[in-house]
Amino acid sequence: MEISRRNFLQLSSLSLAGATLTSFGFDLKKAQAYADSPELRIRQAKESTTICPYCGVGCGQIVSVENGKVINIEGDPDHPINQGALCSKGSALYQIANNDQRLTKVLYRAPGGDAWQEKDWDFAIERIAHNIKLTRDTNWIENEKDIPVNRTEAIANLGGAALDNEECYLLSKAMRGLGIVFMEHQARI
Amino acid sequence: MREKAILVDISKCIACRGCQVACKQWNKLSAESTKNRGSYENPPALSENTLTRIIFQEVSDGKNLKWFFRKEQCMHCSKAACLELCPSDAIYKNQFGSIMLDSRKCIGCGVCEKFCPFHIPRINHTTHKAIKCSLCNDRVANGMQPACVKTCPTGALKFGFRDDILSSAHSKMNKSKKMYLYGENELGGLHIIYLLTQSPAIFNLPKHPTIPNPFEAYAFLMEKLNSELLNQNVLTIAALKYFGHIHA
Repeated sequence: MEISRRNFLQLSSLSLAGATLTSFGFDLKKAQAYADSPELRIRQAKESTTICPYCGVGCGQIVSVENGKVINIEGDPDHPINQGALCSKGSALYQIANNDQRLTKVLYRAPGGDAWQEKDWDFAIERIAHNIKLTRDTNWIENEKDIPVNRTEAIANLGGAALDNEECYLLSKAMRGLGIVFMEHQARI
Repeated sequence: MREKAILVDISKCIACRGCQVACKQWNKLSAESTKNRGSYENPPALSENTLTRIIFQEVSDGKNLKWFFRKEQCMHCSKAACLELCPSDAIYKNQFGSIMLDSRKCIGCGVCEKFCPFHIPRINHTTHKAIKCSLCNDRVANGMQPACVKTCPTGALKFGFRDDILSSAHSKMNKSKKMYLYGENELGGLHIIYLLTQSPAIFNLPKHPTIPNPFEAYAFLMEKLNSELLNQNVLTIAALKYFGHIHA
């Protein structure tokens, strides 16, 4: 608001009146309290649902994402299993995504070596692909008792509790595509 | 507006501590590095990073060991000692009857921490501001439940209008005679209502919590005068507040 001389005078008389009212015991504290309606910090966030990765109960969760970052995770009230509730582990899921103790670089320990070396992703993916191909090719089972099975029993996949529902789905798709039959996960959902 | 409150039904609490973590998650408070003290109770006390926690108690009657759990957080008293004694008027009551702390006004003097009858507020010694539970004012103002209540898997925590909460507590009391109600009349009525399975004394809840004498708070502030946080003006304002307006 632009303050001209005229409304400056009006304002001053208003504030004077205000000051007089206050001195007569008009409590401004209440007015301040009623005006207190803070904005929800997830108001602008995009929400999507997921399943808690930690145990076999499989509680539903709502993940709030803003600018590509997870900003809040809490129970999904519409999920039939947990109806909005979460235990202490499920409530802490936010810190799987946002954690300064996460590894951000590939660490590699050479066969027979005892020290970790920092490597880039290209090296790691190349190396993993090479080893998978080698193991799969040398241990490929095409037929068993004349029935085509097309599998390898030399590779297993172990899921972990930090993998969420969607990651597990993608992993199992990839593993089945490779003909891997030994797949296990701590939560066994 | 009708005031809101949380019902803590001790008989349903399984001490999963979901409330503890949900509170930290929503309020963006970090974890604490603690040591094993021979109890599942962790952390050992409230702090600037822990606004609510479950107190574990082992009580023996000679033969059997009993294990009790109580959720500890700001009680949001109707007659709050912190609100009455805060020398910088940083503490006020919002439209839901919750006791709020305005950190912009807080001078970190520590009166609330020292004189709260339940010893709830804590001073963050990095920011020199007090911090305590706000009953998730931001969530409640937007029609949501407090984070601790929403996450509770057993329904030990319920959130609602204070009169509804009280009537449901009374109906549960009538069904089972062995329950104790805490928070209906204490300090003008708390906004955390406990349904206890044992007498409040066993849960270390004061039988008659009172607002401490303002003279004590004044003496406490006098002692702190030398520190850089306080100056003579604060003391004068406190004096006016304590001895001019309190007719307790």
